[in-house]
Amino acid sequence: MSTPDAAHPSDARLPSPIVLQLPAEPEFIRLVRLMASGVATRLGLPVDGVQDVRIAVDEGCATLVEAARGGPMTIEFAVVDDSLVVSGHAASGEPIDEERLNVSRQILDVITDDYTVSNNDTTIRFRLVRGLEDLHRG
Amino acid sequence: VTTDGTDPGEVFTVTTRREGAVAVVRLAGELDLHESKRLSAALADVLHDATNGSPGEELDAIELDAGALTFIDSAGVRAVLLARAAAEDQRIALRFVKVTPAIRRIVEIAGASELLTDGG
Repeated sequence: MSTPDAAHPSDARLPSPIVLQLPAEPEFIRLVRLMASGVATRLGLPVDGVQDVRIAVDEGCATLVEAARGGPMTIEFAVVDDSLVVSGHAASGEPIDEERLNVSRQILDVITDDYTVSNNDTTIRFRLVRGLEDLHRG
Repeated sequence: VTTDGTDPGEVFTVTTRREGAVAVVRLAGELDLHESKRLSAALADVLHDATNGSPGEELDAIELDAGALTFIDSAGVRAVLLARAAAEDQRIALRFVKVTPAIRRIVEIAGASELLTDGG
């Protein structure tokens, strides 16, 4: 068995991004959570870390689905600079429940290392970052 | 695994029963944006029944039994907060009971600790 590259050990586990495109409807968020669990587990995150990634991705997708005016949402999982980066976008046009979004931001503040949510009236986007560097410390 | 590939343990279910002046609403599975609408409807039914109940059948509290709840997100927390506000308008308490550590953590992070009970 080969030893992972110490500089980019997680890249070998996700050598290219995984891109999902699925309907921006509430019932499909569960499928994205399933993928999030699989990716986080593959990258070696502990159980708590896997759960945090599941919740973070769910929060991002919930905001996309609320804002989406039909059509698909696109979700991408990638490893960038020793971090798991999950990004998503959809065509927007519907109002977001700002109270729910405030709760979502409070959750994301704690369970991600960084996140952004942006809505420019035509496209809603999110980007979540979960560092992986602590997995490689002895 | 069900025909759509879903783990039965993840399927959200909500069941309600009365124990005297308390309505016990048992939650199981994953409570997300999709399922929060079902929870809101179930809790609205409980409050409607309380309003139209017979004398002597007053409702004092709604307990959300979260012992089998495996996931909650901002939409789930928001649905419970809205139901709690509606219940308080009717002088009915609403709180989580039997909360697992994972669910407690998210509810606390979400700033909704008032939904938790010490005995949870």
